[in-house]
Formats: sequence, C-alpha cells, structure tokens
Amino acid sequence: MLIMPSTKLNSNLNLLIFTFILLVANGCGSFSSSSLVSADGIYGNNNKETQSSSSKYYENYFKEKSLEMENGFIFSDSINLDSDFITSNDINYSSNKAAWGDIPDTIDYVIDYFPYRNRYFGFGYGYGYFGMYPYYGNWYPGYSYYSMRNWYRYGWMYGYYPFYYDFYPYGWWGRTMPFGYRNRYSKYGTYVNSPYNNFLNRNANGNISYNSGKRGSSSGVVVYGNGKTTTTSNSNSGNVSGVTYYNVGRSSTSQDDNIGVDNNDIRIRTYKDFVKNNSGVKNNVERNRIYSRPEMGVGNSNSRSSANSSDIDNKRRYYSNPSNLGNGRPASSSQSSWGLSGRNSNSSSSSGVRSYSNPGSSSSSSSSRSYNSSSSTYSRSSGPPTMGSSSRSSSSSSVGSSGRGSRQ
Amino acid sequence: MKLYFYLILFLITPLFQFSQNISDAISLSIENENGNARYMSMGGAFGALGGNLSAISKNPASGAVFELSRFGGSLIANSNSTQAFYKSNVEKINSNNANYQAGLIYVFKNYGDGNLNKFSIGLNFQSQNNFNEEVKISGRGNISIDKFFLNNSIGININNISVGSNESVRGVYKWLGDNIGYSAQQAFLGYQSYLLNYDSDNNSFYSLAKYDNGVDQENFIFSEGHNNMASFNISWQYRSNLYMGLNFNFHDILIEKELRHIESNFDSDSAITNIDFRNYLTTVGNGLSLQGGFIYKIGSIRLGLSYKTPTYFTLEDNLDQYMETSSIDIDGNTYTDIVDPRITNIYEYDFKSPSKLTISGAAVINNMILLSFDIISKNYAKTKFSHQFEDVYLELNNALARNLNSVLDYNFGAELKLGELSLRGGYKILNSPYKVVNTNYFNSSSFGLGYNFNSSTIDLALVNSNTDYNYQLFDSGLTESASINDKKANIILSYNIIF
Repeated sequence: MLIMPSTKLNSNLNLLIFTFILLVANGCGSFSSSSLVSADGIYGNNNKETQSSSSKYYENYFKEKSLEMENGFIFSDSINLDSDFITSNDINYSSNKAAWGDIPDTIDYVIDYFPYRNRYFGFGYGYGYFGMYPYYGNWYPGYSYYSMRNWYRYGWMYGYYPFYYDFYPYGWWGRTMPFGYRNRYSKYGTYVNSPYNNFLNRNANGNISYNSGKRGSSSGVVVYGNGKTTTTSNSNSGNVSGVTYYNVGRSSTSQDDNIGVDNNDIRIRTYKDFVKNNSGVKNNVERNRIYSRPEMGVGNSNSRSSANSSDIDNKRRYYSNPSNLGNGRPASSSQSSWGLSGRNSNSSSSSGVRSYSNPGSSSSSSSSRSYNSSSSTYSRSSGPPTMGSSSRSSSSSSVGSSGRGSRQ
Repeated sequence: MKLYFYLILFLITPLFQFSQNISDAISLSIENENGNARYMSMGGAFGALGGNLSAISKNPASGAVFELSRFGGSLIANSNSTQAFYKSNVEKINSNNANYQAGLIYVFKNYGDGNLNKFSIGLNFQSQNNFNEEVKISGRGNISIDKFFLNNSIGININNISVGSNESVRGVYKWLGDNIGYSAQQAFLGYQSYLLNYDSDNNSFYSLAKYDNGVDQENFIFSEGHNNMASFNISWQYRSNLYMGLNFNFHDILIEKELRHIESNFDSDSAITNIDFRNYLTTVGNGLSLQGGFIYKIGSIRLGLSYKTPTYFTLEDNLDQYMETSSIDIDGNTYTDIVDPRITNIYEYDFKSPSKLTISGAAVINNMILLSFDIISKNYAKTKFSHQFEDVYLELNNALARNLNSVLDYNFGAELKLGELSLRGGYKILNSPYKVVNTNYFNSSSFGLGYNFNSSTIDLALVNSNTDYNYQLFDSGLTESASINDKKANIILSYNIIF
C-alpha cells in the first residue's frame, strides 16, 4: 500500500510543515514586484495609473481635511450642548452595573475568553445558536481534534447534561451524547483526552472487537433499490449477497419452548406472540410461550418468577457490565466473575448444551467447543477471519484446531 | 454584478437509495472543497487561472502563476438548514459549523536567462469535504426496524446469540464480532432485547413487534467530520507561457456519526412498545494522492489541465452499538431491556476514490474582466473498497461499479476588476454519482468582494448551496429512505499577505 502508518504520517507531516515554515522564514528575500503583471500573475498591470490617481485622491482628501481643521471643528448636530451637565436624577444605578468609579455589587467573571467554553456552566442554549467554531489541530487525529467536540452545539438537544455522570441521558429523542465522550481505540491513537473519560474506564483491549468482515448487513441488503423498497423473505434468502457464512449455522434440531435452563434463577415472561412473516400479515396466535432468562446481577439466590416480580411494574435492565473487564466467553464457570448475564435460549435438548473446558489446562483439541455434534449444526470455531472462508471452514467444522484459546 | 447571485434552484429529489456503504463511498469520493474567499466566490473555477492559494489544490501549476510570494488564510462559517422528507412528514434542523483554509507559496524568480522562468514551492491546506450535518427524520412507517434484525438473524444459530449462565452480554457480543461478524451481532441485539424471539418449529426468528397500523419512527443523524487535504506543491514556469506543477496531497479523514433510530406507537396489543437503536460510528484514516497539471497562456486566453490520481485511503471504522426496547407481557408487566455491550467494533479497510481530470479555460478581457470555467470528470464507478481478505468487499465493489457513474462537474466564475476593488460571482454544479439520477447532487451560487492593498488582499465571499440526496435508513430490512435537502450559507473571509 502506498500509505504509511498514519501516526508516522502525522509526525512526519508536522516535521515537514515546520521545516517548511523555517525555510520560508529564513529563506531568501523576496524580489520586487514585476512592473508588468499583478501580484497574483493573473492580470496584467495597469495599477500605475490607478495608484497615482488614488494617491492624488488622498492628497486632496487630506488637504481638504487640513483646511477644515484650520477653520475649526464642525460639530455634528447630535451633540446637544444643553445637556452638558448631569444631575443625579439622571443616573440609574442597577444592582450589578456600577457607575464609573464605583464598586460593583457583583462581579462577573469571564471564565474564558471564548464564550463557547462556558457552555457547560448552566447556560440554556437555545435552538439555532449561531457561533463560530474555529477548531484547531484537526490534522492530527488523536492529538487535539477532540477539543472541538465537547462544547459543540447541543442547543436543541433534549435533556443535555452539563456533566456527563450518566453515560446515556435517556432523552426520548435527540442526541444521546457528544462525540467526545466515547473513547475509541484504534491504531490512530486512543482518544481518551476528554476530562470525562473516566466514566467508562476502558483500559483494556477487551472493549475492542476486531471485526473481520465488513460493516453492514449481509442478508437482504438493498444496495440500490431503484426507488423501490424490497424486503427479503425471512427464510432461505441467505444468498442475497455474496457473503454466505450465515447459511451454515442453522440448527436443525428443534428446541423446546417450555423448559428453562439449568440455573434456578428464572424469570418467566410470557408474551403475546405475533409470529410475523415478512408478508407482515400473519395470525395473531397467542402461543403463550414461556421464556426463561436468568436474572441479572444475581448469581445464586433470589429466584424470581413472574409471580413475585409482578409487584414491580417496570423492570429496567441494563445488560452491560462495566466493572467486568473480562471478555469473551470464559472458560471457567466461576459465577463470581460475572455480574450480569443476558438472555439464554431455552435449549433443553442435547443440541444446545455447551461443554466448557479450561483451555489453560487442556490440550487444544479438548479445549475446543463443539456444539451439537450433529453434522448440520454450526460449531463455534473461530476459524480464519475472512467471512467467506469462515463459513466454509465452519461447515466442515474442524473443531480441533479452533479452541477457545485461539480467540482474541 | 448580479451574476448568479442568489440563484437558488429547487431540484427534484433524486429517486435513489443506497446502502450505508455506498453512501460511504460517495462521501469519501465527492470533493466539494472549502477554499478561500476569492476561490469560493468564483465557484472554484480556477483551473486555468492559477494565482490563488486554493487553486493550488485544483491545478498544481497554479503555484507558478504567482508573481510574488504570499501567505493567506481563511475562516469559513457555515450555516446549515437541513430538511428531511419522510412519509409525507418534514423535519427541519439548523446547525452551524466552521472551517478554515491556509496556504503559503514562495516564488523564486529567474532574473537571468534560461527557459525556467521561475519556480514556486507551496502548501495549501483546506477541507475537500466536510461531514457536518444534523438530520432529523420522522414519520409513521409501515416497516419497522425489526425487519433489519430479522434479516440479519437469518441463519444465525440460536445458541450463538444466547448468553449462558456464566457468560456476559459483552463477552458474547465481542465473541460474535470476532468470529462471526456484523450480522450475528445484530441478531444478538435483537434477540437479547426481546425484539426477536426464536421459533424452534421453523428454526427461525420472529419479531415480537406488531405494527399492522404502522409505527412512529424517528431517525437522527448527527455527523461531524472532514476530509481535509494538505497539498504540497512544486511548480515552475517554462519560458513565458507554460506553467507546470506537481502536488503531493495528504488527506485526513475524520467522521463521527451518531445514528439513532427510535420507534414507538406500535399496535396496542404489541408486545414491543418502544425501540431505541443507536449506532456510534467513527471513521478515521489517511489518504494520499498525486496531482499534476499544466496551464498554458495564449494571449489573454488560458487553458488548464490537471490530473489527480486516485486517492488511496487507509481507513478504520469504529462502531459502538446500543439497543433498548420496552415490552409488555401478557400479565401487563412492562420491561425495559437495554443491551449495551460497550464493545467497539473495529473494521479496517482501504478505499480508493476515483481519479479526477480537470479541464479549464479562462479569458482576461481588457485586463479588467475575467471569465473562467472548469469541467471536472470523475468516474465514481471506479471507487473501490479493499480489505486484507479479498472477498469481503467483492459484492460491494460490484455494486459500486453497477450503480455509480462517470460524471462531469462544472464550475463557472467571473470577476470584474475596478481598480483595487474586485467583484466576483460564481456557480458550481456537482452531479449525482448515481447512474439513474440525472439531477444535481449539489449546486451553489456565490458572490464576493475583494480589495487589493499593495501588500495584502482581503476577500469576502457569500456562498449559497443546495444539496439533495436520499438517505436510506438501514441497509437491510428497513430500507425506506428519506429525501434530504440541505441548504447551506457560507461566509468566507480571507486575508492574504503578499511579500
């Protein structure tokens, strides 16, 4: 590739610019203007005449002004000599605007020269704040570009918080957070310069998933709809795009609806089901499926059912575990390292059973996970990262070579 | 001098849709530069003129046209008014941002004999495109975001997107990204948020949302960013009439987007009552291109030719996702499920933007009136994504070649010089890169003033522009699109020091 790594590029660019300026500053002096063309080289030069005429203009102008001076000042009408002195009645003292020489009641501190910096100090910025935002240093990503982020135009946003203690303000519309509040990890540097960066404390590489594929859906993609919207069918349409990795993993075994998983921590939810096909119209069968799901944050006690949870009407559940920087699917089954867990499938048949083993203590072949050894199921092999080949290899499921340890 | 001033065209909205990735390709390829005031007020038509710092980035031979060295900078204030039409509903949002330009040229003149009359070295830094935009789209649609998740869930194994008793949401989400990919992660978000349920009889997922009577949708785009370019220029004048130059162009890309999609007001008996799906996308990277150009002078006529190689970008996308749903079960209990893995998905890829050929002509009449035009040819079908694993972007590249077109863009400019004062006007058209769209993507009309002091110039420009495009909400499932009309007013103030 033609491109060198960007950090190098940027530092080199700094150097280049710097030397360039030095060169200019210390360089040879300029030459006198050509009398034939204009400075930009576009027009020919007939400036001589205009210049002399303009200088004559100023000559006449100043001559006239000096004559005026000799004859005394000419007052304009706006100065009314009658109101030459002022009585105290004419002065209105406002509480915080002192007259000249007085001590003001209150002092307005200008916290920063630039008014936009003060944006976080409680100003209610209205819709349509017209400001100038000269931002600096954008040429150097990761260095100072964030400086433009934190004070930037959230005037119309709902529920803007001056200090982002809460990661996500739950405004039901509008923007959730300014750009500067997210930390990003990349080869272009870690953008952690925001003073608010400690809210997430993302200090481990565990927050990154290096996606091997492209960003974007791989099924039913409407790249170009020609004015029409097409929705692909809900099943068997996996060959819409060239990427076919997803075709492999469909489990052929049926799963039982009603049986919960093996922990005692089950919440039963029953939804009214509307099985929608892509046709959109479908039976409103009430299937009364029962789904189980482990309660969040509870490892071992406090089993809940819908009966005892009905006293709380709104359960807001947050499926994230910031304190748990571990990632991946752990080999150890120690409950204590996992605060929250998510939704589990109610797999009861042998197809859904996962066997975990410890990659550290076992050979690679035994540390591999295999799901559902029947031939048609997907095995979680980490495989080569390209999606196409991943699909192929996962279908052949060379499980032994792709153990847990090879991930991350 | 009312040439083209406030000539605002209301265009028919183009009938096209595109996936996120095609629009990515276009936004990286389209160059709608923010130059200095003189350049902008003349519609950027400087390819045959040269003698302007921003013109260096258009035609590298421009640097040799200067008779004197100069240093200049510009501040560009931009006011956007963005209208989004969706489902017979209109939303309008105003936003403001700023940009800048800076350039330096140093001229060395040969006072003796020889064919090389003079040479210049220079640098111009400006934004080739900016991504500062805020859009709000809202309306009542017939297709919900659940189709997006359903399409992505095709073929996904239920076991893979389930979270075991000793697993975490973020762990599984990360594992899916590392090993399976984007679609599996979307299926995971849909399933974990209870938007999708699994039907074991059919081995497929289905949605718990019911919206036979439509659903209220709000879609927000908050975007900031730039495609800045630094052109390192060397140029020379051969004898008296031929100017030549070379540029090394370094691009710097930074795009930050928050894409938020909210749905509410489902059917009254729908299990799902609210959906809030958020994508935080950052694109960073660098690009490099080379550029060469000529300007030839025949009497008062000037001709220009400039070629810019494809720009080779190395880019990285960082994507954070967040999903929140509200639901109600048959007992009337309400739940709010938030799936916030806090994992940044990183996608590394390369991108090649199309090459650019600029043909220009200009005439100086009576040493007082200047007329100039540029015709810019770009073949957008040659844009190409690439990846260390070839296959990943194969389909997308085919789609790019299929759907994008070779287009001609036009710049026109005029200047009237009254002594030291200059009046300027310009017009600029960028055509849509899409094959079936014949209307303009962008057009602007501009007006400007300049005053030339002996050793400095000050210039002011006002530019009114109009951008029309269609924005497709998602690349799969919910592929409805809104037509966006973005009206911009730019004020550019430039100061140049001649030395």
